[in-house]
Order: sequence, then structure tokens, then C-alpha cells
Amino acid sequence: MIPVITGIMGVAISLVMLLFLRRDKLHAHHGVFWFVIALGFALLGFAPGIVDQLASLLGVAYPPVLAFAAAIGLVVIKLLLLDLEHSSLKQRNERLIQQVGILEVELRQLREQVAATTAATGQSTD
Amino acid sequence: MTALQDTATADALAGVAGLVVIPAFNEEDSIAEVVRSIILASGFPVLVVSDHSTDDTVAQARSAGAEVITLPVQLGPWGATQTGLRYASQRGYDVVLSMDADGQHLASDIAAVVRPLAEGEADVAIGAFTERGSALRKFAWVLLRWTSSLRLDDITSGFRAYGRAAVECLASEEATLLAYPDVGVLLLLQSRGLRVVDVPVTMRERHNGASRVFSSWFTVMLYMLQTLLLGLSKRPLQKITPQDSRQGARRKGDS
Repeated sequence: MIPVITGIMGVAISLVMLLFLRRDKLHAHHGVFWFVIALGFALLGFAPGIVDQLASLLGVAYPPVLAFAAAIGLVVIKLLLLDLEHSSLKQRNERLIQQVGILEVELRQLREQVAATTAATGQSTD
Repeated sequence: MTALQDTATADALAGVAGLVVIPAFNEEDSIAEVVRSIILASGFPVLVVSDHSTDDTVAQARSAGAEVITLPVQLGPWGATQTGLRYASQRGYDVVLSMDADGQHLASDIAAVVRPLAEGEADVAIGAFTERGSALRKFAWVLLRWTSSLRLDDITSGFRAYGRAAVECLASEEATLLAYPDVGVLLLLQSRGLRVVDVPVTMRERHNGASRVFSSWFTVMLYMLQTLLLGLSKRPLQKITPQDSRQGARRKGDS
């Protein structure tokens, strides 16, 4: 039963991912990661013997543990990548906010200067 | 109080193109008085960075004679301070002072804090007040110093003077992700070979009570863990001796 479920999951993930890509909800950069994940699931589903072979090759007594360990490892890596990206976005966002604040002050100063000069020239021409 | 009270003050501040940056969040009660006292004592222009204040801070600061940057989104104390540093970097000030908006830093100490920079002895001067705080706070300082290998008396003081090189360093993107203006900032300065010195100052009681950073036990814990980890991760791998850092700073100044 498990192989069927993972196989279906793989196909479902790739379909959902393609849908998000198609609707411009997902960056192609993330699409690649999820596509690889989906491929992995599909592979496990349609060729479940791979885990057993790999486990015996690596000397793992209980093959499902290998599958779970690999899955958890991938999830942790993905979460770390997410946090890295989040930090980078936060940094860019903060820089932008700061720059907006600075530009606003400059704009106000320029407006005041313009107002002052127009007032001065207006007076002199009158 | 009169402007430029004594000749020593005038000497220390003469010819220095300085800017005082004050990060402020809802400080309408104290900000006007703080701004006026600084302008009176130092003659420096004052830039208040309002960290998305919801009260009358902006109007109060403007009426007291400060230039005001209003952040459209709250960035926290360091984000607001860095905004001021970036402004100063773009305008080319020689010295940037950071001071708190709650009135705990005295304008009369500005000359003392600026002096090491004006005389070329340091790139950053910290107005240090080591007598304040509980035993726990002092223990926290020891811990922070030990993990980060920083050798300064008052790591958490927000009363500082930054020279041109330090301003450029702290205005950079690298410094943007820091959450608090203390250990991370000082380690970054140290890693660039900038000379940081302590200047003993006196501090007044806060106008309106508690510190923003230390509002509850949980935030204190979070702050300590985050800062300890940051200090540990950025601890210099090789020992930086004052001799090395002085040379480093001089080389930087020459180029």
C-alpha cells in the first residue's frame, strides 16, 4: 500500500507544483526543488525495491529507517534554506524602508528650499 | 545652561562636523527636551529617527529643532539607528553620535565622548556607565564579554560616537541584520580593525521608567540567548591585539 501512496503523492506534488508555476505563484527556482522531491516520491512509489537495495548497500538493517532519515534530512535542509532566504529578504526590506525614510527627508528639505526660493524671487520681481 | 558652556567643550567640538542621531519610539514626553539640550550643549544638528511612533514624537522633535526621519515600518532600535547612520554617511559627517531619546544620556557629556575621535585616538567612543544595573546585569556583561572576547566596560550603552570609518562600516548591508546595537555592532567594528574606547560618563534615571529592550523576563532571556550566540559565532578566531587594530585603522585611514 505504501508504494502506491508515495507514488500518488509524487504525481500529486508535481501536478500541484506545475499548477502554481503556471499561475505565477511559485518561483521557478523553488519549482526545481519541489520537482526533484516529487520525482523522488514517484520513484519510491513505482520502484519500492530501491530503498531495500540502497539499505543493504549501506548496511542499514531496517530499510524504512533509511527512507525516513533521508526525508527528515531533506526537510531540515529545506527549512534552513527557507530561513536563509527569509533573512536575506528581511535585510533587503529593512534597507528599502530605511532608504524610503531618508528620501522622504530629502524630499521635504528640497520642497522647503524650492518654496523659499520661489517666495524670495516672487518678492523681488513684485 | 548656555551654549558651549566652557572652552574645553568648545575646543573638543570645534571644527567637527557632527550629527546626533536619536532613535525614538513613542517618546513624546522627553524628546523635545532631549533635542533642545543637545543642540544647546553641542551645536550639532540633531536627527531623530522615529521608529513608526504613534504618538506626538515627530511633531515634538521637529518643534524642538530636530530633523526627523519617519520610518514607514517599525525596524527596532538598531534599524532606526542605522537609518541615521546611512543618512550621515550620505551627507558626509565626520562624527555621528547616537543617544537615547529618554533623556538618560546627558548632553553635557557629548564633548567628552567626541574628544577621543576629534584627537584621532579612536574610531569609536562609548559613553560607559558601569555603575548602573543590578548584579544580574553585571553578570550578563561578564558573560557577553567572555563569549565575544570584547574588552569594553559598557557593551550595551547606546551613547556612542562613531568616526567616519565606523559610520561607513555600520551603514553597510552587513550590519543590517543585527537586531540590537550592542555586541554584534561592536564585534563588526572590532573585526574591521577599528579602535573602540570607553569614556566614563554619568547617566540619569530614565524619564519614563523601563528599558524597551528589557520589558519582560522572556525578552531578556531571548535577548541574552541571541546575543550570546551572536557573540560566540562572531568571536575573532585570532586574537586581535590593540597594536594590530591600531595599525589596521591607520592603514585604512591612509588609503
